[in-house]
Amino acid sequence: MILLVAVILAPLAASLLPLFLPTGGPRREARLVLSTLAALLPATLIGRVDGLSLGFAALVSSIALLATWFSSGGAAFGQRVGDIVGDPQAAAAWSRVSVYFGLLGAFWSAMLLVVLATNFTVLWLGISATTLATAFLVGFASESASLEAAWKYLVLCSVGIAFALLGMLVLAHVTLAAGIAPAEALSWKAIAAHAPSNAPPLARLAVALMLIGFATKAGLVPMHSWLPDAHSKAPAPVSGLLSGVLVSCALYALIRTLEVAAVLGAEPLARAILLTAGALSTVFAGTLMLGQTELKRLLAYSTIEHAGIVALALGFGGPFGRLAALVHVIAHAFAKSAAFFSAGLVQRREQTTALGELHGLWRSGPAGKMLLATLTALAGMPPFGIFVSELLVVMAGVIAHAWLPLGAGLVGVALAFTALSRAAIEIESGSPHPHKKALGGPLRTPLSTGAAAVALAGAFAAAFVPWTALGGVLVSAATAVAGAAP
Amino acid sequence: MNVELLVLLAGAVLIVSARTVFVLAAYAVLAVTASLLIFPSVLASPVALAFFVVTTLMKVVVAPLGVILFVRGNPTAADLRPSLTLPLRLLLAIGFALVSAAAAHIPALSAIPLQRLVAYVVLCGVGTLIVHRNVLSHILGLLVLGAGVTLAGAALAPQLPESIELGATFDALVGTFIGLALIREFATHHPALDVESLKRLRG
Repeated sequence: MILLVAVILAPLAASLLPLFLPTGGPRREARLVLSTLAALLPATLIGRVDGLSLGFAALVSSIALLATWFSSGGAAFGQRVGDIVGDPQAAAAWSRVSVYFGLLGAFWSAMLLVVLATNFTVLWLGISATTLATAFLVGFASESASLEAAWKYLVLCSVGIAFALLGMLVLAHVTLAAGIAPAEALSWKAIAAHAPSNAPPLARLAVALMLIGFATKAGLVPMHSWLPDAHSKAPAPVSGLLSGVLVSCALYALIRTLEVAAVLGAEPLARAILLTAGALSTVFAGTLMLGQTELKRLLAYSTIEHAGIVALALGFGGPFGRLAALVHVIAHAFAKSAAFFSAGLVQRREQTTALGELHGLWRSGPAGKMLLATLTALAGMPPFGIFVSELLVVMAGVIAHAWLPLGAGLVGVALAFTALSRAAIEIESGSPHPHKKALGGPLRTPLSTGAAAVALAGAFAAAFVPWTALGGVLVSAATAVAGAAP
Repeated sequence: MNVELLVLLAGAVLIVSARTVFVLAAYAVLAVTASLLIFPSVLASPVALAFFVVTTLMKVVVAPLGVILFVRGNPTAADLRPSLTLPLRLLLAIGFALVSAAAAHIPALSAIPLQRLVAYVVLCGVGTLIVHRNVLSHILGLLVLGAGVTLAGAALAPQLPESIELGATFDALVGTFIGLALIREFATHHPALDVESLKRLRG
């Protein structure tokens, strides 16, 4: 228990302890060392938590560490937040980076709380804590659009998690009535062991409310409207974390809810909800991606599309569908964080993310080349992990004979592919603007570029996950969840 | 006065009134009533009682004070700018009351105590969020929704007071401190606190 608490609190401590050191180099280096140690700590939980929790904890820590590296690369260049995020508005509003890193550490710890929880109460608290930490990160620039995005994020996600809490309380009513002890009423292991398979209709109400609540945080249609604003208006590293891992944490909550639904005999309803939300999300997001004129907003809509693909995979069900969902979560987390990091580097150089104003990025340095690679990855093209995971999702759909949702998903993927390919061609071809100057000059350290490159390498390596030891862990986790079904 | 009637009237004012001060008064009535109904369930656990005290202070003292301060600083924020006309708001309030009454007749819910009250408070919370365009009403809507969920917890799972109150505290924390802090920044760009400006981010 103490070890678990230490793993969860380590990122927060890693962001706060350097504040006792002098500003500048020592503080930055201490932050880098401590955050790297914090990211390694989940390895100590091998054998102590289940494979699903461990896999997600490793994913959260990997991407959060890269976001910290990315942010520190910018900070090396000055102590103004605008230098981190490449945003002059932020530079005007914030003069110290300590608040930024404190919130980043709190966000990281909150996500670890979500994925290392053993019951829904703690999981819900973690999800709520992410809202507390990130509402200010989204509105970090303090300019009108980012504050409005933060407001939307706060209100819609609060409503969503309130419904999830209501669902959990209904679930507790059902499990307590089934004779489960109060201390374990919301523990998925206890529910799997003791809950009746012929649960009352209230169990279905509980599952539906929880799915709707957690799907709001995952940005699934029709509860998605906060996501494009929040993810596109936040600083680039925060956008990478929101799209890459916060959405993954919400999808983790959906997986745990599905696990309980299977035990309580509410799986058909849960799968129907996930298939509907997944199909709507892929088609809706794919369609809107075609009309986007801003790079980060395009990437934000792409997150909705990929969350929809994961929901479809979970809805198809069975060990194969769940394995596809888990592989897709990993591949998307790395690809999307790499995309936002690259977009941040491009924004820093070009001072804009408007697609119409970005040209010749291929010739403008490594950021442009990495951005092309990440757009290729997100479009589902080989050799990246999303290509493999999308193939797995299609196979899961075929096995499940779920032709309508599968067809809708394929249409959505095709639309997204078109939008991403068009954007890639538009911004990479032509000549770069000669008059553009990087905000405050070039990066002095390769740390930010390196973080984006490592994330991109992760998006590539994810293609091999099903055939590695990690794939074995995921298969066990997927089978364990599926095996919970009566 | 009957508790259900009091809540019914307060909920109707939340939806129908366009003045911040009336809606704030209705919110205060709902928050205090919900707290009084929840209070007996937290007495069994000192931890739950401590969370209850913190939550009640945030909901009944801090949030209303924050709203009053904003209205004093921005007189234009005294108008909640409803997006529905008065007859439609009245119809909505009546509809919420009827739906809540119908909830009592659903067999699956019939054994749950306070089911009508819980359904009505939750619906009024969502309604307050939907009907008014002023962001102050959104804070009040979130807190009413939170009060409804906590009331549901006290009715559905009285054996879990700590979990319920911990959830309520987080809800209140988000609504009160984070919400009011964001409104403070928001007010510098939109003194009328009109949420319509959010529309330009859509699409």
